[in-house]
Amino acid sequence: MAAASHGDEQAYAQLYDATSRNVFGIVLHVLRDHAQAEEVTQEVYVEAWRLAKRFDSTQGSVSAWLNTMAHRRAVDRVRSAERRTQREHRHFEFQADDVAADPAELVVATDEGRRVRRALAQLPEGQRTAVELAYFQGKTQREVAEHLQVPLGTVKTRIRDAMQRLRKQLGEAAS
Amino acid sequence: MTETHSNAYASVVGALTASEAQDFERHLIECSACAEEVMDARAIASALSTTVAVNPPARLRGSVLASIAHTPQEQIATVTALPRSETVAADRSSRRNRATSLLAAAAVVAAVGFGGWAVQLGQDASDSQQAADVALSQRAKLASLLTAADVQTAKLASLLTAADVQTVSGRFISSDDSGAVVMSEERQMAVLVATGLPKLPEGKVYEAWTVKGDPAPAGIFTSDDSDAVVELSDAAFDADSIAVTIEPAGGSPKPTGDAVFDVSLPPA
Repeated sequence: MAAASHGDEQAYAQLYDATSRNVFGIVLHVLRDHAQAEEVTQEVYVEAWRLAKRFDSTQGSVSAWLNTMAHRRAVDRVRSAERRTQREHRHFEFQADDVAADPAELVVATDEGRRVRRALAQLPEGQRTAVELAYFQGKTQREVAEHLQVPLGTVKTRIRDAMQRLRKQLGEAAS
Repeated sequence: MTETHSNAYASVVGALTASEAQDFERHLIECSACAEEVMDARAIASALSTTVAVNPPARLRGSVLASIAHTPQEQIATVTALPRSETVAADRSSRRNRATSLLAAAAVVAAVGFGGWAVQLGQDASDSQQAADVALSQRAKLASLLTAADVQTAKLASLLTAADVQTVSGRFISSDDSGAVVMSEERQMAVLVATGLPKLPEGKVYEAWTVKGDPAPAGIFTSDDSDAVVELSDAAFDADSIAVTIEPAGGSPKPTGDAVFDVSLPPA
């Protein structure tokens, strides 16, 4: 990234190769639409290139930076699409040809992915569901609360506990 | 505040609404506890993406690389390392680094700070999200330098986060040492930040002056730690320039020594 921030396109290509399946994966998972996922992934990489000098390695890894950016954009897009359809009083449905296959079937199994999935699976169900609805489906904490029919405070607590537990487990496994 | 406080983890998994997110980003600048939590938790949230990794279509790679080839990169006014005197004793250099980072941070803030922290720019969601990154990263920079420099920490932090903060850097005459004036009218605060100041003989002090016609005394400081952060008098806001001279202990009502530092301020 250091090289890329000084305009090294070759270095950026390598960065793309190393990180794009996570970026594309999370965007696709949130959007569940192949064409839009490609678009957003492209936006993320162009934006990250443009803002490369802002990347600060003391703030976390490049992949975390990219994944965070990608996740936000995907969530923003899902929400604005939902707002649009609500305005039009239409139920939001993806067109059949948008989803070539269930994204889950395309998932690349990596060691880290397996490790994180195991950690997720070990969470108490309430915590796991809260995180999944928020992170993977782009729901706000209020929507999660409505969906699960629990108070907002409970959702906040579950998300926090889930993240802290994941950190503990993933941290231990890494060391 | 407790309400905002409790949004740290929700923010990381993207579970805040746009307006909640904006509130939280503002909060993040001031709350180091949340800033740390967020930084930590982001890595975990990011790891979640590995459970759904999907290879993008091959054509996307070419398309990304073609786009960046004609996308200019944003140039942040990076503060290049301040030139160092070759003769500086090794044991001074670490202190110098600290002070350099102080200056650098002031300048970083100034670079982004004109017209306000980027946080305040955020209108639509993605702008504000980006602003959060900037805020977080700057927060960390500031925090690291502010803990390093045992100076009026809170006040300086508040100055550096002012929407209208300006930084003007200058050079100490006859040495490689650097100084900068950081000021905000909104916070009614102006400070002179100086690094690597030569130690003065017994009975001498540095005295800062606000210059508009006749120089007026603006503060006295010593060079005990080679770095100094001096709060200037309010006259700094009207001054044409800020100067520093070496004066007898206790300071002088008018400069008696030659200026060792002099920087012109932009017209108000």
